[in-house]
Amino acid sequence: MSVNAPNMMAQIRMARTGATQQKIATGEKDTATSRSINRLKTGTNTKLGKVLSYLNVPKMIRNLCKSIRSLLHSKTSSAIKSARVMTSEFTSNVSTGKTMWETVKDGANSMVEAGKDFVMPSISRSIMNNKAGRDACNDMRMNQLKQTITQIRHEQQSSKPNTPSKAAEVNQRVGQYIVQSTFGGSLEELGKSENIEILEQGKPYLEEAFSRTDELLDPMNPNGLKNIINQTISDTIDWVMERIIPEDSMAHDTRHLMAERQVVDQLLKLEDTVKAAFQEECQAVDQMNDKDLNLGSNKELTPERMREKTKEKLIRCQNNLLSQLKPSVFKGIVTQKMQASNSKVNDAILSNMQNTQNWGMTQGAGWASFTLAAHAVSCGMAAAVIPVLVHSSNTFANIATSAVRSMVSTQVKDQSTSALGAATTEKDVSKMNTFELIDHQLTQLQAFTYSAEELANPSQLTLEDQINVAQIKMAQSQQGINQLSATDSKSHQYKIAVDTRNQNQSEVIGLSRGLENPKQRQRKAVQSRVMIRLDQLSNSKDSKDIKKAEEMKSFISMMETVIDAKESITYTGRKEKDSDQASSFWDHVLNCDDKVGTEQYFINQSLHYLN
Amino acid sequence: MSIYEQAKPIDISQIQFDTRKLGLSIQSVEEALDPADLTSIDHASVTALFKDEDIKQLTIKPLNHSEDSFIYRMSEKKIGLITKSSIKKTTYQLDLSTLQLTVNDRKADVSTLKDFIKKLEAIGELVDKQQAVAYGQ
Repeated sequence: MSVNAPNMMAQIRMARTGATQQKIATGEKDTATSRSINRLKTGTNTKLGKVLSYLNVPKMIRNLCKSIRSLLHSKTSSAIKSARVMTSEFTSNVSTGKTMWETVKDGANSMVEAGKDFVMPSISRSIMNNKAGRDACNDMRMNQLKQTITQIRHEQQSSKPNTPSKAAEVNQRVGQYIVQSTFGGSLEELGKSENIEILEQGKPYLEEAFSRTDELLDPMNPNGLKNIINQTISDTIDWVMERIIPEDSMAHDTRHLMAERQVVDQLLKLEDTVKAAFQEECQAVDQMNDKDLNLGSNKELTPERMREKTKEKLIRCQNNLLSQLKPSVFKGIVTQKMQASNSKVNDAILSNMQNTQNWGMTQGAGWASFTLAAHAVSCGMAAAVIPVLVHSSNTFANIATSAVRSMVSTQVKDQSTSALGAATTEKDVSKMNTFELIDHQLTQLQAFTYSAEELANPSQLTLEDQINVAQIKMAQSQQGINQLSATDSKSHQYKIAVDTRNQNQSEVIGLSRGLENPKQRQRKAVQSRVMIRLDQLSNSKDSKDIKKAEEMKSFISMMETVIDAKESITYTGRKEKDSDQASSFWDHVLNCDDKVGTEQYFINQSLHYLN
Repeated sequence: MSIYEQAKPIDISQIQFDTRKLGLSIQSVEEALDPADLTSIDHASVTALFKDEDIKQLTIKPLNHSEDSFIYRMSEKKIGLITKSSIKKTTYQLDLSTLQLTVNDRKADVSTLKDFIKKLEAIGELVDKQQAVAYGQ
């Protein structure tokens, strides 16, 4: 290729273009630009080498790039095609038949729709704008997904044509009992997706546990079977209770009737199950070899007589169980549980806690409130609570702190005090604010911890328990003084009551003297005993005891839910809760110093959301 | 009725998985290139230029130093490009025999290679417009 021809063309091109052309034309001056331009002459040797053609080099680059680009296109297009195939495979897996992106879009839209319910008109903040809200939504969606999975599994199981025999049903119940006692959870819970691994890990334990089934069903040990049946009864009560928790506006009477019907249905099923189980056992006894019968040292006892005696024992056990399964007994227990779970004091506390949690909102930040609503749902709180929470977020945002503090639980006035024990007056409870109500329930809780015998004679108890007993007596004396002060504060009876109170007070002070952290130790003593005591009361035949126990259990459960929800907000994004903080309610109760008081402690620790 | 009931679960992990598979597929194109594919690269025009001009290396620099200056160096087997801006310097190396591109000594994916090709084409245009000078050694 000629060197001059391109050079000439370049010169012509340069001559036709603006500033450079002008400078070339007047390039007489020895400027830096003109020196550069001069070097552009093709073939000129510079320290970087000779200047190459302006045509050949771009042409070479163009050809090279074009070939590379073409190659890449052919390869990437095939990759994109294969990706499209993958996408279509994914799409075909979606049951709705929608594309992946349509599914995402629908999901996003549904989230927006769900989020709309949370947007408060006065504050107009979306739940999706804060981490706690997003986490709550995610938790809820996960829970819903799990529920759906459980439901589908349940439907799949229920659609199976073969009905299990009575024996299989008994075995299943035995299995449930064993799983419950081995893993601390029901089969249904263990069947959830996240527990599959646990089940896998627990297989050896399960096998071992199931190997004990024979032992439990040993006719010589009818208590084993009795335990199983008792567990079944307990499960049935829970089953019924789950179905009568008020979730809609259905009238209480209607629910009650439905619950009764369900109880009767369940009882009939249970009766059949129990009879079938005992019949099987009797047949098994008949079929036992003589040598397998434990005749003991009594040589006069023939195998036939031993069989008869064993069967008689089983029949007695069966009749005993069936007598407990009478509809009237069962209905009584369920009704008591229902009434106890409807404690007005607990309702008042819950309601006020929902309102007082807006305490921090008086500062102007509203998101914490409806985030609490979200957490409350994820914690399993009734859905009916949510409108109250959201409503209270708007209503109470402008209420002064003092107004919230002085809120009186007027709804407690009407009834409910019968469930609080004889010492409590209706007037007292109705005047209490939220924290006083909590204190009141805590005192009740403390009182349930000790039996009448222990209260009468505390000398056998530990020092902490003795202080608690003295304190309970002191509280009772104070209540007596309060009642008398309204009528006759100068009577002899009043003076005796004051003396008793002072004596109890001195006893508390005397016992606590020299004890390190007496309050905390007292509460730990309560915690270690209270759950055992409540369980004992729940199994009592006295309906008042059952009511009290159920109310207290409901109170503990409610407070755990509320405090967990509050802590979830307080600690969101800051730290994970330690494992020993799992039970927030007890943590609060046990660490609350009397000098601070429950009210101040709750303000400092739980109600102060704004970091 | 729960206010959450309208929210439908989305299998994000599945979507992410598929997206990742797509990315992997494109990245692996470079590795999927076989010798037959590489013959389609126009080495002939490169060889012809180097032979005609009797050079072993080609250097291209912009005529005027601007903020975005560059140095383009090319042999028959490799292309090197150094770009400089006020805050960073980037070194590209493309092996023409394998089409392997490194950026600051790190292996780059296909999308970066496409960007690099665009840069080369832009440099070619600069030479064509005489805003850059090509030197041969």
